[in-house]
Amino acid sequence: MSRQAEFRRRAAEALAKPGIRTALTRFGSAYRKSRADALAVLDYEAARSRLRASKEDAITRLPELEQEFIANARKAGAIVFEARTADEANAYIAGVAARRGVRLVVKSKSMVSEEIELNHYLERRGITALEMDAGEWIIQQAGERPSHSVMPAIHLSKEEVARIFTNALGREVAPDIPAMIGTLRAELREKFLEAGMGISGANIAVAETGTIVIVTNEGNGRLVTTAPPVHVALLGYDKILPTLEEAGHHLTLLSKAATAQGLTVYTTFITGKTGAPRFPRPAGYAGALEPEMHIVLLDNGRRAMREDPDFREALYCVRCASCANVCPTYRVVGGHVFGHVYTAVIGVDVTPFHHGLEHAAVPQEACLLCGACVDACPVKIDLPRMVLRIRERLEEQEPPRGLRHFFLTRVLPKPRAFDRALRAAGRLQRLLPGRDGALIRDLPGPLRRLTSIRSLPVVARRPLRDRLPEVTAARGTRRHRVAFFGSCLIDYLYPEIGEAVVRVLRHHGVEVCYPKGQGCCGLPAYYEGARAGAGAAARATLEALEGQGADYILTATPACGVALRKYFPELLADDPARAARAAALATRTKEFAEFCVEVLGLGAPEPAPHERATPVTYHDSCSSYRRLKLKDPPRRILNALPAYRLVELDEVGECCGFGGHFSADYPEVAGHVLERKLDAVERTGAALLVLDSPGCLLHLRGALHRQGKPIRVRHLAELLAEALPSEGVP
Amino acid sequence: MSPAPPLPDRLQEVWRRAAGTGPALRARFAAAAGKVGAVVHEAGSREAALHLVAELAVSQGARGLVAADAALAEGLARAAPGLPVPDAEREPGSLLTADWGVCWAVCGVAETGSIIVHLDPPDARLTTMLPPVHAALLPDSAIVESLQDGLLVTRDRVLRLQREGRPSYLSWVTGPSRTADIERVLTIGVHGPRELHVILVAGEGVP
Repeated sequence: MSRQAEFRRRAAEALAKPGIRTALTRFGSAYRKSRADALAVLDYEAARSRLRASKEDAITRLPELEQEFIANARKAGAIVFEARTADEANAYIAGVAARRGVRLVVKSKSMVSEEIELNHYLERRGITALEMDAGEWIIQQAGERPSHSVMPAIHLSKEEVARIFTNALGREVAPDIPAMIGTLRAELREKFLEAGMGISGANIAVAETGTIVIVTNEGNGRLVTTAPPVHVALLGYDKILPTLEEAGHHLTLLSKAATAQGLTVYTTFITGKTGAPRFPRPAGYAGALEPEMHIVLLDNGRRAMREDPDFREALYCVRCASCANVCPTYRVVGGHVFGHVYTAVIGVDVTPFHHGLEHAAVPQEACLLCGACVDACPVKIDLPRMVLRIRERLEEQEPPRGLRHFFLTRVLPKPRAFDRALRAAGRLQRLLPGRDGALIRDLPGPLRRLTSIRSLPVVARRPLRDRLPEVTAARGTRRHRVAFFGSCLIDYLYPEIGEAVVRVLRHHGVEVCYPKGQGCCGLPAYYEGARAGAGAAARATLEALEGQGADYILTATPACGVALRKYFPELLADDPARAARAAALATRTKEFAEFCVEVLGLGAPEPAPHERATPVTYHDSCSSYRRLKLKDPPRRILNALPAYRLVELDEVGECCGFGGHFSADYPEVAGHVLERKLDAVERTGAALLVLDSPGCLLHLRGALHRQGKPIRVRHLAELLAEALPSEGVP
Repeated sequence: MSPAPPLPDRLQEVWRRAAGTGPALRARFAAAAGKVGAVVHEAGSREAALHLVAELAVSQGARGLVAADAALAEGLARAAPGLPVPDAEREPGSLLTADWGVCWAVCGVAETGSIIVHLDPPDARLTTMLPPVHAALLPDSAIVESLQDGLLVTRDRVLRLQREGRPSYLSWVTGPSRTADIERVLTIGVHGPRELHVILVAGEGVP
């Protein structure tokens, strides 16, 4: 089965359980607010820069810090074992348990133990390993794996949890949350006393003192590390920081980002083993009574990650799960689809190193590349960038075949071939039934998926390149000369947006050239991991746009702006001369609204609507809002249009679910993201939705058409062009 | 950036600053601890603090207390005649039956409302974990301003023991035990205490 088909199958399973997305969607909205409140007490940007610098430094010095940690932990009496693989770690821990005659192990939450499947390993050797964290216990009893790294059972309703309690305890348990937690406390208390060994993870390890730091809310972490005579701490060796004070940046952001707490309830600093308690053990107790502390430092791919410049920053992760909480598709399908053992986008990013590239292949499909996770990450990890690297490596490993790949690598990068292909597609489209003006409601056969959640636009009879001359003169005195990169979306699907852009520019004294050698910027190929195709398109685009004598390159399709500004220099890195030219081009590239505000001086800082102004709402594309950080310019433009009054959407900046190929491949998933956006639009009461991205326009206009909703969708340039005085008036 | 001054100097500076802003720090600590669900009390002296704990325990119908050290056990026994108050290290069995566990905290952190508990003997430490109610006595002069200050105090304690090759176990406790693992509904009192009382004790001198 192709990875797309397998992802579709897994997603369908999750979608069949509406409880998952109800829970995650409700959580996502509440989280957004409570997290913002928790972070309001500090300067978030400064704090995450500090944490990032702290982790960068620690990972750089890791070999030296590791030796220091080991020496100091040993000095305090701990026994340290360095495990290269999951098997070595499992065998060591099972060996300690066997030597000590342990039959019951109690565990506090440890994702590393999930990574190495420690519980199963111990069970197979006759040792019971019992999870003591409430969420982990529930998941263990249900025979599942965590769907979230902080709240493992977030996907279950209280009714489902009550059934799990009932089965596990052999008596009826009602779905009453405080009562269930009370039952859990009573049932598990005896186990803490009866266990011969406690296994914990660690959030941080401190080189200077050999200390491990554990963060928990329930109190299981302290009991697991105090009540049994033996404590085994299992951790990735990447957790080491130089000093205890350095942990401050980490603890502050972790608790605020993960659970919106000022600080987690219990933050425990353990250095060696201070002894074994002497309370009377229950009759079932098995194991020696002498105190021992073992620290298992696990590699299992972490050293390789550190050596890999594309993935090194994944080691900076503090496991707060913010990337899951804000992820539009995680909120629809949950961590069992979006994840292998580790969940959400960070989970996908580390899977190739812990479990193998093949295990990342299907879950990584869930990433829309919207970038919400990057803004939410307290360590500023560029998580989707690593998803792209995974897609590229998958493609290298097994070069895909078929029409789609042919298109991405052979047609899309060649402007003339691409032009012929799109014109031919347009002719075919016009032969199809089910057309409603410029939109097609239903495509037949295998193309049905493309129209299952939205009507699709028809390729224009006259693309923008046929409508515009090579150079459109400025009105009056020429102030600037720009080269307009139309983008395939505007050129072939929405040429009227391109014409509006040109009208606005020439009105304000800008000479606009439209280089006919331009084609696609290559972003669709880049986003699917077809790096060769993307590189070829980048070269062709660079050739077309250079040498026009333009002061600026202008785009009105922010995704292409991202390609030109962020990806071209990197894609052409193996050709330094070209990369330098691409970097020069990048600095001169502006988005339409950005250009209008920064260069032409249009827009206003505050709204001054006419009293009969029409309410409009505004949707930010992920490319402009997240990648280019252009939240302000479009709003300034709207402020200066007195005919309109802006009503902001709830959850500004959330993705609409377009995601390029994503909504074409997985409309079932994208549809739920889309619905949230449409609901937000409807709540504003505006009958006009304005945006800056033709991609989002395709998605949202098509969906509103398909649902018969009378909300119009326009590009910002069109509003601005309509507000111009008619031609001829000076 | 110039290198940071040595640890003892910075620690001294933390306590000097704390002493200068005592009442404000206490108020800030009480507000932050209250916000995370701890109950903060004030007592004019050690004796008053012990009486307060005894009264609270009796008024809640406690049948037994357990103290983290012998001196505390004696003091509480004087304050609550008729209630058993064993010392956890001498009678560890009492940990399994006591309703209240009582200990001294070594430091308070105003920014987060946390108390720092440093109890190395495991039975003593269990007084803060096993009983359903945990009461901690905190010298009101031992409150520092920020999380970073608290970490300095923690680092100093750990480092001093570690240099002598001795283990240590410190916990920052920020409110009572809690979970939100089922449907994200906040539930107080899971494996740890469901109630946390912090008694700010005046007249204990400078730490």
